[in-house]
Amino acid sequence: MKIRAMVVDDSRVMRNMVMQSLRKTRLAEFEFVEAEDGADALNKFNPNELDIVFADWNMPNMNGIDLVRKVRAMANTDHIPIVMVTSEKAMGKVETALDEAGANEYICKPFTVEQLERKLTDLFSQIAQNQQKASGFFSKLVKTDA
Amino acid sequence: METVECRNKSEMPCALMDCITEAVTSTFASIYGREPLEKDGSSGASDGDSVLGIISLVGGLQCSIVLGLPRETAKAVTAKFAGFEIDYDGPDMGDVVGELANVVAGDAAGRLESHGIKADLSLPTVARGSDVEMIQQDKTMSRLVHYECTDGGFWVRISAEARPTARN
Repeated sequence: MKIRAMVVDDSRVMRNMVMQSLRKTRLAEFEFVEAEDGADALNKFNPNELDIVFADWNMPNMNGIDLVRKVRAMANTDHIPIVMVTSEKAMGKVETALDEAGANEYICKPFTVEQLERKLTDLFSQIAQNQQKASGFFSKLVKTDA
Repeated sequence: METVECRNKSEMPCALMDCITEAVTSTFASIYGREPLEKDGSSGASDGDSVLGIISLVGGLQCSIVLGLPRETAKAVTAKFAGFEIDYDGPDMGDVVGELANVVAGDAAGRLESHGIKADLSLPTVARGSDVEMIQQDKTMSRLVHYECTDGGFWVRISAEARPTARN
């Protein structure tokens, strides 16, 4: 499975850390889009070309939680999982991200590759199903056209 | 590096101290797979080149945390944390140590929440220098804790207002 993932963090090193950790998992092959903050992510966001978003919380210009809210307010983005990757561990923040804003998963730094795999396995199954549905839909379209 | 002794160590709220020291222990245990050892306050002081991660907790309390990493510890810890080597003299060192301070403070904020204290994190600041002297201010109480992890010593200075009050 090939995953198109957006990684949003104001730190280049932290983006690298997330991307390297994801590559070390056995979940998928990855193609990454990088964004420096929430505003940059929104500019680069295309629901037709993304499978998942990984976003830090604390960033200048637009933080991660506002990014989640803005993406969820857009049409046709429900199928794209958003994973908060953050050092914010307070339960109130977790609830805000998952229950109020609409993030799908919450990963606290620091994390191991194994922890990442455990947290993401279900989400990646969902992405695989979405990709199968989409390919089925397009193959039907092709047959209909033919 | 010179450190100034805590003037009001006995007044540091136990919950605050515990939450931050547990956060430090938990963060380094996550990175190394084993907890760092807390050392006697006066030993293991880090003279020479160091990088400092500075972050504040604000809201239900006013508190600042300084994470002091001597050069060799900084190189080793950041490599473990990031998963790749970080140049001590390069700009990436600031990113990683700032993130490390962020992780410690985020963990502490989560623990404080269970004591009914809501705390938000400031953006971290990172300083790099040699023989940096930390100066305690009159209106704050401060506690310096030294640790030893697998790759060397480091220290954490916790400073808080004299009488923290619940503001949440």
